[in-house]
Amino acid sequence: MMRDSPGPRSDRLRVGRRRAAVPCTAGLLLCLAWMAPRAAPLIEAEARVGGGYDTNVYEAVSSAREVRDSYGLLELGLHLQARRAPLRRGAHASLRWAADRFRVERRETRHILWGEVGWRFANRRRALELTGSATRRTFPADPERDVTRYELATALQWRWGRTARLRIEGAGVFADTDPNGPAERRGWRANGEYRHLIGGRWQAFQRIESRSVRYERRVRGECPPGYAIGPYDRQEAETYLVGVGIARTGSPLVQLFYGLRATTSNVSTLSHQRHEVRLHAGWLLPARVTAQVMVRWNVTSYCGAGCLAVLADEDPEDPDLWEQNSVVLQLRRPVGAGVAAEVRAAWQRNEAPIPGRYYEKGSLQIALMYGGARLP
Amino acid sequence: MTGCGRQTLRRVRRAGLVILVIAVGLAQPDAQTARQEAVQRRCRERSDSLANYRDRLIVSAESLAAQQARAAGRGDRDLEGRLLARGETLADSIRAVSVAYLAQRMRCQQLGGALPLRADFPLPEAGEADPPTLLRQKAGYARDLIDRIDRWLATVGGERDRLAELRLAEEMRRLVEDQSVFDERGALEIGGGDALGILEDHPEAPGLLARLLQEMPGMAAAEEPEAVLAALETWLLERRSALVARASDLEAEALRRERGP
Repeated sequence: MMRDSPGPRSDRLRVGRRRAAVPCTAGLLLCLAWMAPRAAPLIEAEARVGGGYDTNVYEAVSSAREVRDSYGLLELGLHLQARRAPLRRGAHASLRWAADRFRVERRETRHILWGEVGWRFANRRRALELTGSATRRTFPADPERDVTRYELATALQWRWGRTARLRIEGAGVFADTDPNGPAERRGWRANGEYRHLIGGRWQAFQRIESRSVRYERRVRGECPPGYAIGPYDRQEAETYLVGVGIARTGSPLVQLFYGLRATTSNVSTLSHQRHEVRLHAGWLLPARVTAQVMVRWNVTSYCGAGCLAVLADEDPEDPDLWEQNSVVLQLRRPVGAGVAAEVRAAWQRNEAPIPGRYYEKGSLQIALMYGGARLP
Repeated sequence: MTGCGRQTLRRVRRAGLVILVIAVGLAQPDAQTARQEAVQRRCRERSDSLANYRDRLIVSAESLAAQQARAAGRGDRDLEGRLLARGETLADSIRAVSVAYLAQRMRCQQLGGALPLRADFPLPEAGEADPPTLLRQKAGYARDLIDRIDRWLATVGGERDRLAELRLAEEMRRLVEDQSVFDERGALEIGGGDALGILEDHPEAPGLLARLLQEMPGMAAAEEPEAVLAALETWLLERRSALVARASDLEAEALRRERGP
């Protein structure tokens, strides 16, 4: 009888531990959720159970290769809010775990664990916020795609009554994008936003943002004769954004933003300019139904000509790299006892890992949600 | 993967599931009862807190009224006008806090299964020996109560609208969070996502009632303040109908007694 060698055995144990972490985390969250009211009244629990349908599971560019599948969805969350309203001072912590499991395409089954801890120090005019968060995304059938991301952010805010607000934020981010190799990215961002009331329920806001990202990866190029690209061991990018927007509170709730983003990369063919439009709108409908629409529309023009930078291993849903266009519609209605029914439909047209090529996908999701819409 | 590897995985997965079942089992017993008791206790605390606040406001209003009377006695019209304006503001606050108190009491009573609020809007009764003038006074009192109910209905309606708008904004914030955290891109993004501070910039800040409800510890969405206000509105409408009918009955009875047997 053959015995397993130590290497593969430890690998299997590692995979096993990873898989066991899912039900263990779910159990821990459920346990805490049930005990929460007894333990501390400021802990709020939430859960979402549902299912959906995806028309292009693997984000294929060619419609002939599109694969459709349905999936089940489970989310659990806990929120601790040691706040003092109305200034919302104090600490807060959140933990959310979600899993979606495809019926046939098990390779796409994934788990996401997200946690955040923050403090807010505030008086009526000024506020200081410190936030740390971590995200762990795992694909049990495809560990190569696992990602762990950490973010540390701080924000300062000044208020002038109800009419104006200035917010300055800075953050550092680290993401490990390959558990078996040195693929990672690290970066920082700084942004400022000024909002002021322009009359009635309408506000105007202006935003500037700067960010820098360094990718630990090689870039492969496909160039016509006479051109050359790389090879680059480290791709670096600097991004600047200037944008304006308007917002309306109440119903309809509206946020409309336009921004011009300029990205300069040491891989010249990846440098680009992008026009970004984002629209969020919400309505209160009869029978306590709420309708929400989110639209994201980008137009990108690449600066470099001739070469194609191929980043085939990168995630096509990475907004730091690719153009994203999407429409999300959501209808939601409380059905009693803190439970709400929701239907979410989405359509996306995103840029594929080869710049300039696109894939489309649609999805429909129906779920029941307990909690999850906490009033401030 | 070898058969042995699969077996190991199966064992580990089974162990995880067992932990899950045990965790659920441990958490289940008595949790419901403890939760109900905690909710009841918090409800009573909130109710008491609101009552104390209302009483303090009433004391302030009485003090203001005395100052106003003194100013009128001295013939200081300017000060009297200013005090009158402050008094009106204070009266609005008292009404709003009273509605909050009623809503809270109603919620506690619903939780405890008791009847709601009869004492706050008593139906005037026609006494056997009441003369017609007294019956008309009682009918007038009933109409005063109807006016008060109308003002409170307006306040409750406004608060319900504001809470619904807050819920809409919170759902929007949540949808944005879902998109940035649970979509795949959220795990990678260096940028700040789509968070645009929807809630913080809500210029129509919730009114006194909503704020008071929120200031109470543990007032969470699961307790659905909108539903509490809707129940209060329904009860006020029912009471209004009863008072309208009673005022009409008292007038008719006064007329009948005037005409004699």
